[in-house]
Parts: sequence; structure tokens; C-alpha cells
Amino acid sequence: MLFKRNISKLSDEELLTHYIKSSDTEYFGELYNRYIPLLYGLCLKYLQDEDRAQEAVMQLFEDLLPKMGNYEINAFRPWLYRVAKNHCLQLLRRENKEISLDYSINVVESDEFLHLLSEEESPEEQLNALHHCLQLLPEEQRISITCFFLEEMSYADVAEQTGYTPNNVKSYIQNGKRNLKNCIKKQTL
Amino acid sequence: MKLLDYIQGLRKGKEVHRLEKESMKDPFLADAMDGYRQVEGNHEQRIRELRMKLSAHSAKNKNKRAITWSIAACLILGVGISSYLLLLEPAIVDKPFVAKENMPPPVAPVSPSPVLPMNSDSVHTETVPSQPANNIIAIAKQIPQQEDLKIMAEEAEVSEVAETRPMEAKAIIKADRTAEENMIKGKVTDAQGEPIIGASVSYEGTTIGTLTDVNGEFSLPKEEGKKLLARSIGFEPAEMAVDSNRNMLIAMNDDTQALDEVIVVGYGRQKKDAVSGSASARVESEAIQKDQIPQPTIGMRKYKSYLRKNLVRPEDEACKDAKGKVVLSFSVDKEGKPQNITVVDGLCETADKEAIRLVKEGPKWTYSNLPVTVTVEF
Repeated sequence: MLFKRNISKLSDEELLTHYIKSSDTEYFGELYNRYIPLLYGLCLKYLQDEDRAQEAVMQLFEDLLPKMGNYEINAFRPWLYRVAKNHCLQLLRRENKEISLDYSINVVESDEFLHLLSEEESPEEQLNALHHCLQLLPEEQRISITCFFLEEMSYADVAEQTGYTPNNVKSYIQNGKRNLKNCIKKQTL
Repeated sequence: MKLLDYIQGLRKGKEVHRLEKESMKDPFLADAMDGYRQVEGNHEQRIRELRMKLSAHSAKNKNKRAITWSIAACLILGVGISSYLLLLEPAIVDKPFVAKENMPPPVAPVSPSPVLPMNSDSVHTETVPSQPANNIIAIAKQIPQQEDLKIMAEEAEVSEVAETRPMEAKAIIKADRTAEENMIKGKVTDAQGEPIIGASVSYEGTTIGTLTDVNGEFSLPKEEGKKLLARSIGFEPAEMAVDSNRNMLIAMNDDTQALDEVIVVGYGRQKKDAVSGSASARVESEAIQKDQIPQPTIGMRKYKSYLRKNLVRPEDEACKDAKGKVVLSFSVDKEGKPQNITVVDGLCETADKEAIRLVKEGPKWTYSNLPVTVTVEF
């Protein structure tokens, strides 16, 4: 019991080193356990099926278990994300299924202007540019962005208030963000 | 905000907003959230299952290792004992032959016991007891060399001892091994795979059982074809058919019945003389509950206040100004929900409906065979 309690306090990387040193399954089990909610969701997204997602998460665990020593891992989380995603994509490829993905979802926007939206103290010039650009956005994008960033509403909240579907809200925000970014760049040049 | 709340279906509020914002910088999180949003299902349950499988997997590997080690230990033990016997063999074989000329004490060479039975006049009284047990082989070799032994023993007896001893020793090893084979081992965990300490594990319908140790592990004599029953406070009892081929992993679900659902009902009076034996043995709770009129589990007073607070006055023309009582009658099913609600004494249509709604959606009742009536005041 003591052992178990200690193990949960270790960082991901510490657990990893312990596992590679001792090859005690418990260490890697604990580490993998922490990521199960993320992994299962990820697999759900790509495989679109509960049973298959579950199977994939277990399969990945069994695949990785004997091989962990072979990898050089600096940061476990991003590494696991890559491995898990590839695992799912491979499963799909094996079935020759067309992989239909909305790639825009995965584009991680640089957040250089995100702080403008949430912080009060920013250079006035940039704030002005921001407000100017906001006005130029299509209505749906402007409303979605304002609700999300300024009023801290969730996608579902925005959807409820505006009557858009949650998926649309998401893409409005995404596209709006991109447009804003381009616009602000132009303005502040 | 934790991802788990989102998985459970929470989609609104600032916490969700924060998570969604976080996901803009974290593709792993973003993908996972997409998955939970796009595919419907009992994700929580699935995650719990995965966690159990994972801990079962870890446990299995551990056990495999344990089995390997125990096999190795058995082998070493076996080899050790047989080589000991092998080394002993020449002495034993020599024995009857030597015995013809000089009789050594019959038991000494073969007994593994550190205290050797000695004849008091023997020359050996000095040498033998001072020897540690391990040196018995040496003693065995030594003894035949003693020229001036005067102890007499029958030849037959010596050879008999020589014959039976190794067999006995082998039998002991065999017994050791079968003892191990005749045990089943296992572990009791909760739904998250954490070991449950002190859970009782027993064969169903018998008194053969044990408690789990600090690691949640237990071992029991093997009884093929029977069912194991694990119990622990705060968990639902778990059953499992005996499978001696592998370590048994019994996972127990949390007992969702909270303690506040336990109702103590006392009724009736009896003269003390009429009660023999302990009172508790005579009380059959089931019987009491069945004969008792159902009660709201939250208590009658709270139930009345629930009715008052949650009553929505009808607003239609016919019933707007209606004042009075609606008397309902219903039975209670095993889950404590009101069933077959009928209006005994109505007021007007919408008021009756509202009364039925209140009771139907209201607090649970204690189970009983008897019907119950409730009065709702408008």
C-alpha cells in the first residue's frame, strides 16, 4: 500500500525511468493509467467506435510495455500523443479506410493574440487593432469569438445563446481566430 | 475543471470554457474532447473497464513472475533434497554390510534430526551431539570406521530403516508440492484495481473462507466447481467460479446503496416473558417491512414539506381557484418507487395530475406489500 501511494506522486518521467530500470509493470501501468481518459477519447475520435477504441487503448499498452526501454523519451505526454495517434491511424490504414479528418481541428493556433482578448493591459495600438478587426469579421465569427473569449462561455453555452450548432461555433471560433490574427498582423505592421 | 467532468457530459460553464481554451494549445486534449463529443456512449464506464483491464494485466504479469519464481524455488528445493539423499545413499547402502562386523547405532546415520538417539554407553555420546545437523553425512561415514563399537542391533532393523527413510523424505516433498497445487490464489480489488484489505473470501454456501491480506491477496484450499464469494463493507458482494488454472482476480463494485437507506423499523409490543432467546434473532426485518405501511425514506415530515415546496398550482380556468385535497393511493415497488398511482379522492383534473406528478417524481419509499395513501393539499 505504501508503495502504491508513493507511486502516484511520481512524475510521468520519473515513473518511466523507474519502469525502464526495474521493468516492473506496475510503474508503467500507473503511468498509462493516468492517460487513459485522454487516450480513450483520442481513439474514439479516430476509430468512432467504443469497442474498437477500448481495444486500441489496451493493444497500445501491450505493444508499448516490452518496448519502452528502446525509446528515448524526453517528454512523455507529447510522445504518447504521437504514438497513440499513429497507432489509431495505422489501424485505419490497415483496413484501407479512407481517413476523413478535419485537419483544421488539430491546427494549434499560436496564441500570440489570444492574450489580447483576455487581458486588459495590452498596448493600446494592438487593442485598437483588435477591436477594428473584430468589427471586420463576419457576424457569426464575431459573436462566437466575443462570447468565448470575452465572456468565457463554453462552446455549448455559445451555441445555446446564439442558436448555432456547437460544431459550427467551434469552426466560427477557429476561423475567426485565424482571420483576426491575419488582420492584426496587417494592422500593426 | 477536469476532463472527467467533460467526459461525464458537462458542457457548459466557465470551467468547460477553460478546458476548451486549454485544448486550443493542446492537441492531445483537443482530440480526446472531440472523441467524447462525437461518439455517444457511456464513456465513464468504458474508462473504468479499461482501468480494470489494465490493473488486471499488471497483476497477471506479476503473478507470472511469482509462478516462475516458485517453480524455480521448487526445483532448487527438489534438487537440494535429492542430492542430499543421494549423498546419504552410500552410507545407507553400506550400513547392513558394516553392521555385520561392527554395529553402529541403527538410527544415527539416516536420521536428519540434529539430536541423535544415543545409547548412553556409546562412544558416540561425545562426538555426535556436538556435530551440527548438516554434518550428518559426515557422521554417517564416520560411524562405520569406529572399530570398538559394542552396540548391538538386529540386521533386519537396520536395513528396514535404511529402506524406509528415503521414501519418507520423498513423500514429504511430494506432499509439499501437492499442497501448493491444491491451493487457489487470488486478489480482491475495487473497481479501480486498488487492493481491498480484509475482504472476506469464502466458498458459497460453506464456512470455508479467509480474509485478504494487505495486498488484497488470499489463498484457499482448492474446491473445483464451486463459487467464490467476496464480501467487504462498502462493496457489492462479488461472485466468481473457481478457476484453478490462474490467479483469480475479483473486482468489487462500490456499493451504491448509501447508509442513509438503512431503515430501522420497530413495531408491536410483547411481554418480556414471551420472548425467549435473543431478541435480534427473532426479528426478521424482511417480514417487518412487508407488513409495515410504506414510509418515505426521507421521513414523513420532510416528505410533506417536499409536497408543499414542489407543488405547482394549476393555472387553467377550471382548477385555478380549486382548494382542497387530492387523496392518492399507490403501491411501492422494490426500488422504492410509487407504482399504480390512483386518485382516491380528486379535486379537479389538472390538480389531480399535479398531485400524481409530485408523488411519482418525489422521494422514494420503503418497500412493502401494503398500499399507501397520500394527501396532497391545494
